[in-house]
This record gives sequence, C-alpha cells and structure tokens, in this order.
Amino acid sequence: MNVQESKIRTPFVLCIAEKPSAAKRIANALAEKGVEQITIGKESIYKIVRKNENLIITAASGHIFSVVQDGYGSEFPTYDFKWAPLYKKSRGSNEIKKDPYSQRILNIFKILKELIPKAEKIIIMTDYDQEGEVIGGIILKELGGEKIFRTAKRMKFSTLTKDELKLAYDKLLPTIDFNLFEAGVTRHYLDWLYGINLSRALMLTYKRETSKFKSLSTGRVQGPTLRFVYDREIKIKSHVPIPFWQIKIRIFIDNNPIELKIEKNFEAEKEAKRKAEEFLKGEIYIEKIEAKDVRISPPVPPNLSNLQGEIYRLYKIPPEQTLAIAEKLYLGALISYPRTDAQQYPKDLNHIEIINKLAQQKNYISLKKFVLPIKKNRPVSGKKTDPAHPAIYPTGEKPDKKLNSKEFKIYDYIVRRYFATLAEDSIETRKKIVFSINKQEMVSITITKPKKRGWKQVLNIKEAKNKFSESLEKLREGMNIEKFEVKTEQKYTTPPPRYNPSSLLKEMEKNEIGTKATRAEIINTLKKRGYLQGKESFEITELGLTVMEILKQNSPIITLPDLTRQVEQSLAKIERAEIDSNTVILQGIVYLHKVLLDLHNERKNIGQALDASVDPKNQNKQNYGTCPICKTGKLEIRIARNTGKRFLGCTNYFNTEIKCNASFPLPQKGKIEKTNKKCPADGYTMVKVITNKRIWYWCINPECPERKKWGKNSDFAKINNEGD
Amino acid sequence: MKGIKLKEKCPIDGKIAFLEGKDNTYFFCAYHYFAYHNLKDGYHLWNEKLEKKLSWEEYLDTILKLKDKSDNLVGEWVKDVISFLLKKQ
Repeated sequence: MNVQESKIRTPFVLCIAEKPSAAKRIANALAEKGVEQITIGKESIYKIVRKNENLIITAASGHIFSVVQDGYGSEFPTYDFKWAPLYKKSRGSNEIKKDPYSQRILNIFKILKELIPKAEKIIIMTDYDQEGEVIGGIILKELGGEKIFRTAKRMKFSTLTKDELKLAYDKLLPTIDFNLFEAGVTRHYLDWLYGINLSRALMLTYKRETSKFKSLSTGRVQGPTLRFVYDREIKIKSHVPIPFWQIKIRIFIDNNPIELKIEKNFEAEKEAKRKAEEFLKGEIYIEKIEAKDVRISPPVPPNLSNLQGEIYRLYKIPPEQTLAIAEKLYLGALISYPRTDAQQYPKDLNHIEIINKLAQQKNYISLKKFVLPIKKNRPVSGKKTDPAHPAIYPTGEKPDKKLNSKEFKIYDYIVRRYFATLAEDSIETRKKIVFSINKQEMVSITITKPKKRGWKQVLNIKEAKNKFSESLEKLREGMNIEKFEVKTEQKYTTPPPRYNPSSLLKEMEKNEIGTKATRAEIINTLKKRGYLQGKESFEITELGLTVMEILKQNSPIITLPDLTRQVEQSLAKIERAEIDSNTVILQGIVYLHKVLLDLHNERKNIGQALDASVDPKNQNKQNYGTCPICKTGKLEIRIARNTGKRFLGCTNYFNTEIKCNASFPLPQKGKIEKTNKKCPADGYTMVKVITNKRIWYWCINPECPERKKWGKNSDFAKINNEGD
Repeated sequence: MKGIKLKEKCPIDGKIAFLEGKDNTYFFCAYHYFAYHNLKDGYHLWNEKLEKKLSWEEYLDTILKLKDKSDNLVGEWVKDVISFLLKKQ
C-alpha cells in the first residue's frame, strides 16, 4: 500500500516521532477513540483523533539524512557539503543502496515526502535534545522547505508515559528550538569536515605512498580520546619500577594478628631498616580511641554517564550497550529519556504516583518503606543540569513483556537508585584506634559498624567487615601492646592502570570530549578501526600508536581536548544565540586547512610509518634479490589489490623517476622462502616453496624454458637444499 | 620528535630511529629510546636507595626478573631494551 491508497484525507495534522516504537506509544497515548494502524511497505503509521483533529503519527528512524560531500571526488581538502538521504549510494549519486536498512529509510523518506506538503499542521515529536531537533528540523527543511520548517510546532517530553504525552500535547511549543537546531547542525558539519578530511589525509597518504588500502579514520573527538589511551600506554610500556620500603607492624590481640601499616613510605632501604629496629626496641600503646557517627547521603539521581559507570562497575556491561538498553527501556515507557547530563529530577515530578506504581511490582514492594516524606532535602539532587531533560528515573510503568537478564539488571538498578535518592541517610559508627609507636609514629585503625543502613539497603550494598573487630573492640586507651613484630617490606612503584570502558568514558566526560550520547560510540569506533584492543581494559595497538604519533607530530592540537572543548563552547554559544553558526564553521575550516597542509608536507614519512604499523611484517620485509629488469630495485612480496594474489614486485615501483613495473607471479599456496639459488636455465632468482605435501624451488621468471617443462616428478622440482 | 634519520632503524623493532635516540652505540625508535632513558635514570635511583650497590648488568637482570600479579610491573618496551642490551653484552 502507498500513502495515496491508504485513505489519508486532508485535513490532518502530521506528527513526526523519532522512532517507530515511539510513534506507536504516542498514538496510543493521545488517541481518544482508537488507533488505526496503516501499513505502508514495512512501516506503520497511526491514524487517531484528538480534540476533533485527525492526527497522522509517523516516524523517522533516527537520522534519515546525513551530511555528505557536495560534488564528486575523494580528495582532501573538501569543504563543500550538503544533506542527503541515507539510502543513496554515494555523494551526489542517485543510486539507491540495496541493503534492507537503506530500503527502509527509502520507504520512510517516501512516506514523509508525500505527507509533509499535504499536512495542515506539523508537530515534531522527536526526542527533545540537539539530535532530536536536527532529525526533525532537517526532515522539514529537506522535504517541506523553509516555510514549513519555520512554522512546525514542537512537542516536548521526557518520558513516553500517557500522562506526560497528553500534557505535552496540550502545551505544544510554537516552533522547534531554532538555536538548538543550529547548534546541532553545526556539530554535524564540523564533525564531517574534521572526520572526512583528516581520515582522507591518512588513507590517501597511505594509499599513495604504499599502493595499499586500509580504512583509517580520526576526527575531532576520536583524536583526543585516542590520545588519552596513548599517553597512558607510553607510561605503562616504558615504566621502570623504583623501589621504596614500608614498615609493617603486626600486633597480636587475643592471638589474632592485626596489621598496622605506617603510612609513610621510606625512600631508602637503610632508613627503613633503622626505623624498623627502633620500633622493635620501643613500645606500642593505645594513644586514644575516638568514636563518632557519620551520616552518608544517598547517591544523587543518575545522568547517563553515572548510569553507564555504575552498570559497568557492577555488571561489566559496556557503556554503549547500557545506552542501547536504556533507550529500549525509554521506548517501552519504563524510564525517562536516558541521554541526559542532569542529576536532578523535574520539580513537578509526581513521586508519590511513581512510588505507588513501582510498589505494585513484586520486586519493589519492600522498597516503599524506605522512602522518606517528600520535602526540601528529599529527593537528593546532584549539581549537573541539562536544559533538555532531567536525570534518569523510572516512570513506574510495568514492563509489557519479560525483560531479558541485562535489561532487568539496568532497569532494576534505575528503580533502586530512584528509591535510594528518596531514602534515609545511612549512618555508621566509626571507631578510630590510634596506636603510638615508640612515641614517634601514630598509626590508626578504623572499625566501621553500620548503625542505620538507610539507602544502602535499597541498593543492596554489602558492608565491609573487619575480621578482628571483636578483638579490637576490647582495646582501651593507654593499653600497652605486649606482643608485636616489625618488618620492612620492599615495594615498587607501579605503572598507572589501563583505561577500562568506564574510566575512559569518565575521562572523556571530565575533559568535555564528545556528548553524552556519542562517547560510548566513539570508543567503539576506535576499537573497530583497530586502534584499541581489549574488552575490560584498553591497550593501544601498533596502528593506534602510529596514527597518534603522526597526528601528534603534525598537528598536536587535534589530539588535545582543548580544540574539542572550544568547539563545545562555541556550540553552546550558538544555542544561546551569542554567535553565528557560519562563523564557527569558518573558524573550523581555517584551522583544519593548516593541519591538512602540514600532513600533506609530511606525506612520505607518514606513509612509511603507517605501512610499518598496518602490516608489521613490512618492517622486516625480505628482499628476494635484485630486480632483473631495472637492475637497481629489490624484489619483495606484495599482494595485488584487485585479486588479492601475491607476487614479487620491484621496490622501484614507488620511485617516481624509475617507476619499475616488474612483477613476477608466485605460487598462491604454501610458504615462500628466499634462497641463494639462481635458475640454471635463465639465471633468474629462485624461491623455495613449502607446502604440507612437498618442498620445491621455483624460478620466478614465467618465461623460463625449464619451468615450462616442470612437473611434480621433475628432478628440478624435487627437494634440493644444496647451496641453500 | 624532530629530525627523523630515515636510514637508521631501531635494532629492536625495525622502526625508524630518531636522531635524539643516538646514545653512543645504539639508535632506538622513540618508544624504546624513552624506555632506555627511563632505565638509565632508574639505575641511579636504585643505587641511591639500595644498601648494596648494583652493577649495570645486575640492575638490568633484577628489573627483568621483577614481576607482580599481572606481570605489568615492568614496561614492555623496558623489557625489550633490557633483553637487547643483555644480548649485546
């Protein structure tokens, strides 16, 4: 069925959601009489009536347009860009990609293209943030034109619950947020400009200098992120442990050995030993015992980074997977919008309703009793805010279907953390026992006892126990310790730990690199490109090291957080209408151009360095004798780009003056080894071919008169190690 | 890292060696050069701290044998350099 056949008659209000599942939920929430589902291709659109208006609710599929080069060619620099539908095969082309995803985008594109001009009114119902504004705004601009873009209404919501959606529909914003839109598209343009140009600079330099192809990339966010791992890796791999000493005193109480550690580290062995001897000859007594109750506030409402960090810490679920699952929970109306920086709930959030709804789920009935009355200090709030969305919280809705294990873990954590923010402080009694060692050093041990578990019980946090707390409780001020041992321990300085998915994400957030929505994906891209390896801790690869070295040498600022931070600040200024988008883009181009020139000037060194890292075998590339054609180049094994077959080629192929095209086919199976043999028939180099079945010698000359006669049983081809 | 001397290769990994890496006999790539210098600085520190002084060879041998639970205590490039230096001697 197409749109014309679908009995959609004007007048109607066209509502555009960000994703199909959101469209369905919005339709169900806003419908006054019922929802008519119309299927066009594989897409569903929903017809409902609300306040005597016919509403057609349709959806994009996230972005259906992307920034592409305006014009042909794959050179750098390229500064001309435009928006094009994602289903198109390449920039400027009208060819359509055949894969199912592109076909789906094409279908959505056709539906929107037909409905937008016919609609009486349009309401953008995408997620309310920079990306949501860009998704909706670009659809309107590209498919409807400037007038429609300027007049479309905007619905703002943070959860997909019925009540919030109805309220948001009643309070439509008169237009989309143009400043937010401008900031969003500027981010897309800058990311495209940096990404395409720097990546092409690397790839084309590599291709031109080596005649090989490798997918390489970098960008204004990838660069600094890789730099964090690079700097850490340098420290780890060149770490030389330096010794230092610690003094450990073991006291015995009720025959239980209890370790007392002198906080001070001793730099020299002699000093540590001298001190230890002094301690051994001296006395140890209890100087004082202090006990106090400490109140610990609940954790603040989580933003995306907090959620990703905690879920990784507790369950080792990678941050990008946490985001994907959280989005699914949001689309299921179970939680609020997860792409948020805020650590505060909305002021008018109906906590009582949410708590009551959650208490209907059997897993959370018991948590209701921990909730304190809502007042000034409850729920607790964090410092961070986000103009678009509040912190992540559960809506109280019950899952429609059973959540899988990971979904449940994340949902359960969000619910428990929500209850925790409303629960009582946790109180623990901390008893500090201070030991005087020979009247010179004071060493303390603290015993912690929970007095009131409060929010900790909601989050199932286990209390750490001191094994000998009972014995320690018996100690009194002024008591002498009769039995003790003193020893020195040699320790070594350790390298810093490698980044893990959570700590790298935190580092990016601390340095304002990327957005809450893109950080996890950037880390993933670095892994896909082969720059990083490892799941639980990231190690930079040989290729990652080389790419970073190239960028660091030729344009260090690209690898530092400062540039990205400046861009983020400029985008924030665009959002506040303090600066024009074109100015920011132009500044970006001017800077980028200089970087590209530097990379171009260093192309020879860059090509060589990349070659050695992309294929580490190239570093010790064997030469198979002097080239019989040009007589100056060396023969080496190469792989034909078109066929993937190996052959011997001349190193002078890359010499622009000589450009020797000599190439000699090789057997495609078995291991090739260099020999000192010359073919008795024509004097060409011979190589040794080793397969599972046999070993033989091979004259590299395809025209060799003897080679043509060879058969498996030829004497010439038999194993012969003489003279090798 | 300026002044790339293209003809010189790091004896450990065959990468381009840097001019600054020239230290009497050896050229190292940037990474092994950095590790080598850390080793040299470390030697002075070790002998300042230990009661019994170590010879350069004893020091190299001691570092190479150091291990922690994760075997990450000694940097990989440092181990490369030590193995190379001990082999040379």
